[in-house]
Amino acid sequence: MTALRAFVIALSIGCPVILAAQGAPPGAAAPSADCPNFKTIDEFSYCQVISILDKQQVGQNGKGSDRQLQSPSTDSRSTSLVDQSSATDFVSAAASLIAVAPNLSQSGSTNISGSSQTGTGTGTTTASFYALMAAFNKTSPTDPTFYKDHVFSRRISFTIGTAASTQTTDNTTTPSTVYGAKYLILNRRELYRADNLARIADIQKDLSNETVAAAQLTPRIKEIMCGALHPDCLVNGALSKVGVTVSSPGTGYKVGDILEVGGTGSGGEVEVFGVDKDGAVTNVQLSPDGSNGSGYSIATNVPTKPTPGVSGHGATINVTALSSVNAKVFLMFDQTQLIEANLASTVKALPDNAKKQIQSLAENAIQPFSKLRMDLNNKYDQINKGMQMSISATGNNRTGQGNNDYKMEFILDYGLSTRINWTVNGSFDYTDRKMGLDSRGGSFATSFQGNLTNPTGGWSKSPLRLIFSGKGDWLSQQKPQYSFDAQLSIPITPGFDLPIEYRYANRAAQINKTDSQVRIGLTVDLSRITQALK
Amino acid sequence: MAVTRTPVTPNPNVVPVKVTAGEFLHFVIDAGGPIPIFSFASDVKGVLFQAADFPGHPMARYEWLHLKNPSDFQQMENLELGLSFFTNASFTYTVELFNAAGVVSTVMKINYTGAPTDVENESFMVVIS
Repeated sequence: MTALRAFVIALSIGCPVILAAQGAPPGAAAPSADCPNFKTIDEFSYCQVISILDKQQVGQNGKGSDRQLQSPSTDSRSTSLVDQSSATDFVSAAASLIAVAPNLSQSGSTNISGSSQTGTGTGTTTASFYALMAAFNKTSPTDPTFYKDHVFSRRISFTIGTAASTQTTDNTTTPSTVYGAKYLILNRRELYRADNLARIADIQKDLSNETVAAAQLTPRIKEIMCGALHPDCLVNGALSKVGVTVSSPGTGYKVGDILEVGGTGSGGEVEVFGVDKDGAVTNVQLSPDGSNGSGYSIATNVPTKPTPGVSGHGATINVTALSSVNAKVFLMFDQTQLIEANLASTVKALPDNAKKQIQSLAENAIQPFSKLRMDLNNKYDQINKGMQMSISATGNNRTGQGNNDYKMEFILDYGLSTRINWTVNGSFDYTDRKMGLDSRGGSFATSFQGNLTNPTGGWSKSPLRLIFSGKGDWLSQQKPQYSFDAQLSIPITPGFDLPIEYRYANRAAQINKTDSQVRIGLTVDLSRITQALK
Repeated sequence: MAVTRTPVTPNPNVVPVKVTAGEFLHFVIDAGGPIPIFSFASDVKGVLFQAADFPGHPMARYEWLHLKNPSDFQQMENLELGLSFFTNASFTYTVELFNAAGVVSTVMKINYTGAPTDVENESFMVVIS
């Protein structure tokens, strides 16, 4: 019997914040080789390097699967057949907005608003102990210090709510009261484990190396651009910002004095930034207006000449390095043509040889960028694939003559690859029947969740996800029930996903008939929506 | 880029600071947690600060001063901030110009959000006088 039996809309409100376990990732935004998406000169520089890395196929972007946002599997309307080890770090809610048709043999029914249906409005709310602690302390759950100090509280979560009941299975149509607790026994995705802290320290070290490399690369790219578009930006033998030091300090100077630099060149000026009590110069820097002259050569004890208003005398400097850039032109270029509003047109105007020079420069600076990118991907995967193991207890209590259901469950999650997460559930189940013999037994379920796409950003759309699940239930007083589930979760916009599920069971609960259902859900992640609207 | 960068006060690229008149820069990074990772570096002096250097790390806010001490003085220094979103989804980077009396102006203020494997760099050149 195949029937499009019911539509179920599950509203899940979750705040997946632990980034290592956040299913959001992906990937180092890999701009295309011609870098069309930069907005700043820093992004342009980074993009040059990344495009080279892309060509070299360094690193693989990959991410694991998400944590559970759907209703627990004990909810008969859940679009999930299995439960996952970790709940949201904060608070999640799952609500069934539209009831399941109570008659299993209601072939072809697509009625989603029948008044005879029951259970409308049932739902559950799950909160981690951590979230409750944050609320009681009036602290933001994202506060780093609070997060660090409450590692243990993230292991525990509680669920409360109501779930739908059917007469045939539960001996009542009154929704049950759901309550449960989950304890995360093992969490190798916890950031504050020693091995994960070591990985984070490695990323910090890599980032520092990358930042220094970027700090040195970006000005050089700017210089190439300036020289290519403004011939007067290039000059021979200009004073360098790192190439002027005090040789002989002289006397009678004061801070702010401007001195012309003699020697082989002309037009170069330095400013006095430090003097002692006798006016002897202790610190000189290039002139702030960018007058770094031309025609200089490496030399020591180069004489200086006071400009008008300077009363000191006798200071000489060492010229230890030279520049090929006219600093005055360069500063003007940087302030006007490289700002966000004008950068795209400036890049567009670059001649091919300048682009080749930039590419060559980026190739020579690639190592720290490559190391950071590889470590980010590898360590992300190492953390995200970490095993999680939990136990949970759930009760579904019904009033009147309705059955009470209890479940003790073992849950294991393991990242098989960067895109595939494997979940196993094993449970002891007990059904307390007020009108008949009790049932005892167990169930086993397993699921493979695979990401078919990578999302484009942390708070962007979730990946397109394909899930295959299987479950067996063995209970006394009942024949074994085997279920198979295939689900495609389609991201609509950031925060909204549409899971479409096909579920087949060899028999439905106590009815000796096969059951086949198509379920459509809607998951809503408020944190993503909030971020998207910012 | 996968990083969403939202300027409140845009990066001017070049920042003049009258150090001889007592001006200096005040840097603030507000982090969304749980473990911020960032580095602040100079093209001349290398790494100046990184998140792990701050007492109390990890924190929601990191602050430091630059150019208040004469040993910081370096003409046309390129100051670069590197952000990793590995364990911190959002940052706000604020740079203010200070003098002895307090804030003179906000040089730049930019919000960032990103995915765990994203990196963002932001730099400007300081012209001291």
